[in-house]
Amino acid sequence: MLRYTIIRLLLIVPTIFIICMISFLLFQLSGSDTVDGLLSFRGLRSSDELSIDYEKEYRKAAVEVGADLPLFYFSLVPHYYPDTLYRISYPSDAVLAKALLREYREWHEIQPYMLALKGFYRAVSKHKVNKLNDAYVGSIKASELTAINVDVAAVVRQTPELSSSFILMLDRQRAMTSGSQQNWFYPRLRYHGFKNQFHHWISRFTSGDLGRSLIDGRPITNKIFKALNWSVTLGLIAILLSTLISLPFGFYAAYFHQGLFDRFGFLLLYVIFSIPVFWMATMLIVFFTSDDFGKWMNIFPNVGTFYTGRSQGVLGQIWSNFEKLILPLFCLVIHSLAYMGRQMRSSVLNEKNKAYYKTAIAKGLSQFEAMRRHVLPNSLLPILTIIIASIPAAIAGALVIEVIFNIPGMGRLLFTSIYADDWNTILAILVIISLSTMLIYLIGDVLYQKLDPRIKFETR
Amino acid sequence: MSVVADSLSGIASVAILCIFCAMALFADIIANDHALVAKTSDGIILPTRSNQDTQLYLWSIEPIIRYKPSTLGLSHTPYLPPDMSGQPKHYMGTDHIGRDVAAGVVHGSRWALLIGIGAILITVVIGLFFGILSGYYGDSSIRVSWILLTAWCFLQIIIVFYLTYSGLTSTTCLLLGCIAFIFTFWVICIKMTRVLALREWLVFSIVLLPLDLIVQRLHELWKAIPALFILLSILALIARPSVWSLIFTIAFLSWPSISRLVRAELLRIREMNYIKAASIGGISHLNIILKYALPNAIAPLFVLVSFGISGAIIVESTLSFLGIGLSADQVTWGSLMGAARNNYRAWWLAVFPGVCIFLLVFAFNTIGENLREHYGRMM
Repeated sequence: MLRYTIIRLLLIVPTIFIICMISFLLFQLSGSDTVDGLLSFRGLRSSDELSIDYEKEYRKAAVEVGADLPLFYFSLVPHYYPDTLYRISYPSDAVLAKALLREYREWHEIQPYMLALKGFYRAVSKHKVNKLNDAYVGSIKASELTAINVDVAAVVRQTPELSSSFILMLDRQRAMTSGSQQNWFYPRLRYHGFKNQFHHWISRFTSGDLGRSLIDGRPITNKIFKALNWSVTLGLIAILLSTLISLPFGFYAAYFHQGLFDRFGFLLLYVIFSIPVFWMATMLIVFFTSDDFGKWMNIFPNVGTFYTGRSQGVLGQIWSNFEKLILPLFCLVIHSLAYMGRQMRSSVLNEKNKAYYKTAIAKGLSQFEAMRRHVLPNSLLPILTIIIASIPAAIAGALVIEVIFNIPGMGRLLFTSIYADDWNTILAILVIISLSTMLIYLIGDVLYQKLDPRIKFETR
Repeated sequence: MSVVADSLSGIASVAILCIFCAMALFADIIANDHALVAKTSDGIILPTRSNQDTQLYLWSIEPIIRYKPSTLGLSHTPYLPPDMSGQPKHYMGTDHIGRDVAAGVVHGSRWALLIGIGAILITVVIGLFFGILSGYYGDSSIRVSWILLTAWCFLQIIIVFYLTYSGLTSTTCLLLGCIAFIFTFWVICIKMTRVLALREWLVFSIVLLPLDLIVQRLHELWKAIPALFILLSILALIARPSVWSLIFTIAFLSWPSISRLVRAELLRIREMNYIKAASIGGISHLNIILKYALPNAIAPLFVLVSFGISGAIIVESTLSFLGIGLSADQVTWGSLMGAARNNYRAWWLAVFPGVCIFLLVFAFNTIGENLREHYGRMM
């Protein structure tokens, strides 16, 4: 038992590591810029991107955050990549460097060219030649640069201060482009050690610091903790309520099997099962929160924002918003009821068909007594699995409800983060949710085994 | 067919399904802003094809709903309740930018069916693949040399490296990568092991490949990830999700349910005598799977397929409702209902698309339930 639990707990570690790795990969693919986010809280907006100041600040901030480190413990790059390419933290520079590397291969000629190009930029922005500013923004490939050069030369002739840096740039460009071209390349493995972005990220993660949100710069840990409180509390209330309803339902439906209650209840749950939860919520809001369809239909308060004072705990906040939470709770309960009620019914029926029930009847117990004393305790076991399994489903199903009713839970946090492209928060949510899902399943399995000694899980 | 439609609910759901299929097929005829057939001075023409509506028709046959889902006009009022007085009529009102809801509902059936059925088809393909690997081959039938396996792993890294730096688009890379992954595995690990199996330098390295264990671990990994959360994140990653990316993402997240079922069925079937007889008779694994094993495992699959379709439809409409699914110019049932979120007085936006989603989901669920009962009785 203990051994099983420990093995399962240990198995969570590699799974979470894989999920972290996938999340980190998603983060890189999303192309979101942590440094830019950081700078925008400090008052530097990326619309000033061309200015030299912004770039300087960006570099500084990148060193601070660790964005100038290699991504992973090792990297596999084409052989012509220089070994410190990751130090170029400024995104447009990095893109330009990679594009130039692809085309011309020789880093010792590309680097001077990029420096000269920078120098020319600086001169241009110093002398306020706006025409050139625009011309150079999109020109990443060197072939495009040569095409623009005609106009550039004309402008340079008008402003002689630019000529020295311009000629330097042209020289170095010529040197770069004149090299022989190769098309083939082979991979080269580079080991970077523990000083890399992934290592920093994951070690911050394990120490409980999930980083800062890109929207408002608040620590993500706080945000998630608050949201998780709401989601878990609401989810538990909903599951508790639906268990309290579905358990008697399952019992009586099985007791009066094929009776009117059973048939009607089963049909009702069956229909509810097919109703998408967001439709139900929308319909309830449309018809029961306004006077449009008669005064008596206006039962519930409008969907609004929630009062979330700082002083109260989550329970206090839920209590003070209780009126507004009736509808969402109703939707959540109905949503899980449709699944749980059917499962409970079939679980009780399954036990009722076994031989020991007939024995109990045969030895003279009334049907009710036989059901209560023999069938019910046995059918509670699978019900436990159903309840445990419905917790993650309840959290996921709550996403839409939270968004519709503006409840500040996990689902809504994810939704707003997605809309704001806040990938720091999105990934933290993903990792936290999957970690808690795995823990819930583990608790369920351990409990199940504890309660039913017949069950032995394999430990491979 | 008789299996599904042997009860009242079964007949009803098949009827609903037929109606929606017809709606999807003939959407352009039911709801169109051009006349279907018209007589002009030149003769009879089909205005929907020629895209000219400025001519004067002598007579014309108009579609029932005289709008397209995308028809926008300055005269169209947003949030217009259903009215029968205007000309042409808005049977189900208009949405937040004045598009006709009835036309959207009719054309939305296309998206719902396409995504529901498309997603489940791809789910079944992936699920069958992994299910066969873990259920039929299992832990103890594929022999590979770990030397070749290591070589294959290195080859994969190299392939990924060249694809990354090749400058191809990401979709092409993904596709080529998947093909290369499977093909090289088959060539190097299966074929070459078989050819070289007797060589002395290789024979010591031959081990059994625990396919079942690997697939089971994958199942567990997938179980840990909350599907809706990761679905939203993946779709947020894709800048402009197309129908296909939506379908593939849904399939990518839901294959374990199919794979588990196929595994369980094949584990049972694998021990049957007719499989053993076929195997002794020298029939190849592939033939056994396709001709003997799968046909016997396919029946319970239909249950999951019909539940899977309704699940995919719900997922798609939820995403469109939240505004994260397909792009805004594609009118789906979910996106119509999402427009109701900005104006809860527009009851028609909640009712009509919602009823459609409900009916379609209900039909597929009922078919699944009937199939399950039928196979339950058979067992």
